[in-house]
Amino acid sequence: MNWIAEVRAEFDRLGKPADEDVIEELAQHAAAAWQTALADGEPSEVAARRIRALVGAWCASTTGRRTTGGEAVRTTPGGVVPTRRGGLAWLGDIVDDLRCAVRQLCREPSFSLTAVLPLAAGIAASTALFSVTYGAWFNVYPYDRVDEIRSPRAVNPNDSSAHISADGRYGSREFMEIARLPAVEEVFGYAPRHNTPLTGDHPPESVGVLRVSTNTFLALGVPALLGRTILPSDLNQGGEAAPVAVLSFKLWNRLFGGRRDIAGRWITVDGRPHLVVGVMPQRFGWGSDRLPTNDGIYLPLSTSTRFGDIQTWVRLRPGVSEQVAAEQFHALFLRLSKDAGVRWAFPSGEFRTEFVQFVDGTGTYASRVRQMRASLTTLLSAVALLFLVACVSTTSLQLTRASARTRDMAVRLALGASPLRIARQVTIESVCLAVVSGAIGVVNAGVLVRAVVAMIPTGFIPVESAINLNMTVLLFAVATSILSGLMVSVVPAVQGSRSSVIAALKDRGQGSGMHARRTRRVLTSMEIALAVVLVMAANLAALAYVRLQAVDVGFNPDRMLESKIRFLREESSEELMLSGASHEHRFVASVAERVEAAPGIEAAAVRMRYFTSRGYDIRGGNGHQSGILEVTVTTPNYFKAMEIALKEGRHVTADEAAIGEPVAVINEAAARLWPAGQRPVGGHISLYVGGSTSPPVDVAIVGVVANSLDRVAPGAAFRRVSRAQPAVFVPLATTIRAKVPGPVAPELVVRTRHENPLASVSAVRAAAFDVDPMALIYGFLDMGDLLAGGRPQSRFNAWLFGALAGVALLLAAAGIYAVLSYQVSRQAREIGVRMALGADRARVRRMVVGDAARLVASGLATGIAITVLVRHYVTAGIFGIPELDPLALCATVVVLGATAAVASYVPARRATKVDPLIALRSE
Amino acid sequence: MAIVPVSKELRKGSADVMILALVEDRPRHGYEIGQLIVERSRGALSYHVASLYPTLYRLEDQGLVEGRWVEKPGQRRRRYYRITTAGRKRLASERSVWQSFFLALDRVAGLRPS
Repeated sequence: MNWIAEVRAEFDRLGKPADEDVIEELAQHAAAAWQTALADGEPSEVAARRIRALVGAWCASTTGRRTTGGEAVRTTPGGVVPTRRGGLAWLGDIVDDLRCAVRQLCREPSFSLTAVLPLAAGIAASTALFSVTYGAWFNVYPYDRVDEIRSPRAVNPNDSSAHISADGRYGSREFMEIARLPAVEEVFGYAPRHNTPLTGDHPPESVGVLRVSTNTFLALGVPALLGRTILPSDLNQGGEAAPVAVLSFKLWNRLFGGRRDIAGRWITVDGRPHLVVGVMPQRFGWGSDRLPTNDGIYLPLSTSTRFGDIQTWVRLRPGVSEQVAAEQFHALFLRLSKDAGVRWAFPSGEFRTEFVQFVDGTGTYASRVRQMRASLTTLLSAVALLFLVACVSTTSLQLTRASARTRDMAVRLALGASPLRIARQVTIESVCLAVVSGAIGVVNAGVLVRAVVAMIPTGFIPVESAINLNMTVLLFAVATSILSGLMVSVVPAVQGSRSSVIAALKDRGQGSGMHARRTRRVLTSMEIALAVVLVMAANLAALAYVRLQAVDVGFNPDRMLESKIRFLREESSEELMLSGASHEHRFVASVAERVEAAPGIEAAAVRMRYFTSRGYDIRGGNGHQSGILEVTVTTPNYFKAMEIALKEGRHVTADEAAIGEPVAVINEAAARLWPAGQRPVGGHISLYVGGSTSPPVDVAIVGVVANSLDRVAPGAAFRRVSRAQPAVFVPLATTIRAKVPGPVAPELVVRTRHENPLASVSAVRAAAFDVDPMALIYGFLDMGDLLAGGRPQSRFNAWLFGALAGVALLLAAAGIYAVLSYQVSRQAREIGVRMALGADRARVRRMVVGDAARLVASGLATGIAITVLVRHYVTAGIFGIPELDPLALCATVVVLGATAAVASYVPARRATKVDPLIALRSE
Repeated sequence: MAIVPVSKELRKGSADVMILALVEDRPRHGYEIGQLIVERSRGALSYHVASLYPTLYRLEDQGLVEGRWVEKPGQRRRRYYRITTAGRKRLASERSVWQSFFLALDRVAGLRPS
């Protein structure tokens, strides 16, 4: 065979220019191969054919030129390839990298765990809070096309008097007219919710009733859980509503024990029988913008009766822009505002017409929605910070591992690995780590979500929100994990792909040099800075909580229950006003006694409040005063039940109270009405109450009690007790004896023995039921909770921020510890030399601690600077606190300092234990 | 024996060191080098003719090996490659790099059977 000719012919056929040397050498190779084949006994024909084919392949895939360009050589694959290696090699490389990464994770389980835990904590926290945000903000309502539900409003910013149209509320007539606008697809609404007695063979209950337009449930598209919803057919020809009722889930469970046979039964609402036709599912709270509860009854709204105040919602016809619709509404409103009948509903002067989205809420509900969103935004930012801290922490650990592998990286680079290839491997490792963290994080997020949901204060989120780990939340968790993996890999990847073989080999396996060390210090300092921001937020939240707790209201709100009493008898309050001592008066006194005797009750009293209508006269004072004095009529144990302190004199005795002696106790604010130098105790005051013919009530003052804020509304905690109004406390029997017209709206105050006063509700109800089965005790309030208004909210904030800051601190401490102990191990020789030269242990310890102090100081300074910059965001969601508080600042510095001290203790101790001999010998 | 997948850049670097080592004690021709790689690796490694020669040419360009046509009686003319002084130096340094690499690999991954 002439292989030279064969090879040359092949190159010619391919049109490749070829050097003689190359042709001859390939021919030589082919000849050698042929000879071997013949020697192995392969038939010459077969061998020749096979080798010819090989020659064709060689010539096709090699350059025929002897001198190859630099570029060509470098890109030529190596001379040796593993056998059985197919295409898609890059995929194989990634699989190799993955396998390698998993092995790496398993090989150093303790290290992997320390790298995984911070990330897992960060991912768990962000996933949990995302699921709350998603459930309470983005995907709250189960209603059809909820984004299209709007409320038309007529607003004149210059007209300060409240017009109901500014809240999207209109009378029956406007409601009908709106339904006729061409832009409107459907309009539905409800009359104001009101509380009505629900009576039967059980103690009367006060329930919330919402009368909804009969198309409401169809428009919302939520089917009933049991039975049916209210339907348009529930209105008869004349527009009169059928006596049907739909129960909310909560009420059904609370009052009817979730009985499935409830549909078809009759209940008595406001004295009239109604047929229960259905029960709504748990996630249904239509109308709860009026009251943050889904606990009530839905009744159909008649069109035959005129209502003056219907909260109105519309959906526009498809294709109609909001602007066009607003023009139509505006024209209608302009016409209506000139109509004498309904003019009052619209603002005077120029007004504009606009729409409010249902999801943004209306009226006070809108401000609650805003508050919730602000709160969630702040919490989300806090979680994002924690997530960053976790990423930095894991980056720092990855860097440690990377620096231990610098030589490995450098050798691979020297052997021809591209920096990109090294970076890819590092990235894959980090993503692997992050995915493991994500899995752990998601499992824990489930627990966290339950804990957070349990802590969420009532009314903080819409009642319709369903908070759980759904598909969207899981996707978020996966995205977060991968993102964190990428973030964590950036620094180690850059460093790894930059390693120099010379430097790495010179370093004698001790790891990285100055550069990596500096990077780690910077990272740790960042970690501390971010932790500072979180600790500061937590301190502010805690401070807000403590301040709310510390508010002095003049009485003890803990374990205290307050409720209203109402009679369902025909004897009306008007009648009561005329008759003076009536059944109600007598009843009220015996209710207080009976409740006090009930189990779990420490003291109970009834109070009724009215005001002097024609002034008062202090005997020996400045004559008749026309001012208004608060007169509180009480049953005997009132001050005991309220725990209001006696400042001077004495209380009214039981005997005096029983026979109605003309005596009274005043508060400190009232005591200031006496002329200077005169003591009120022992004095007399005439109270002009009732009509102009009623004689004044003369009472002798026997004592002075502390001021108290006994009329408490949510948020009242911010009022000062020093600004309490002057008040006179008169025994009930005294007012009866003086034939003073009876005050209305008696309130029951109960001091319970339970930590949770609401646990005594049934005992109180039962006691009142014994006295009079037609007595309605309703509107129970846990004073402790109510008083602070924002207290559950602030407790929620304090807990959540505290937990986040705690985790961040832990991570920062771990970071400080890792950096210092690494430093100490690197400096063992230096420390050994110093100690050999006579440095004492204290000096060495100072060196390490000083190092820690510098680290913490830089982090602290950066953190405080960041806090100052973002203070608006920090406090936007924490209510009732200043933006920057010196106390919180000091607390932050102390907490960080203490953390750093703890974290640097072990490394510092280890440094002093360095044996100079061993340290030097190891070199 | 199991086929060990070796990553690309390791292969790239390893080709140089293998070729240098094979021509260290005596000059060899291309076919022989290729056969020896297969034999000594017990089949774990094979090679592409199409890239074996360019690698040899590159080593020659870098002055690490030297190729010479040799004619022996009764035989076809063959090109033999022998190592140069620079090649020996490079081989020594590559050996130490690879040794420390394998040592490190062994320490970390426990490659050697115990």
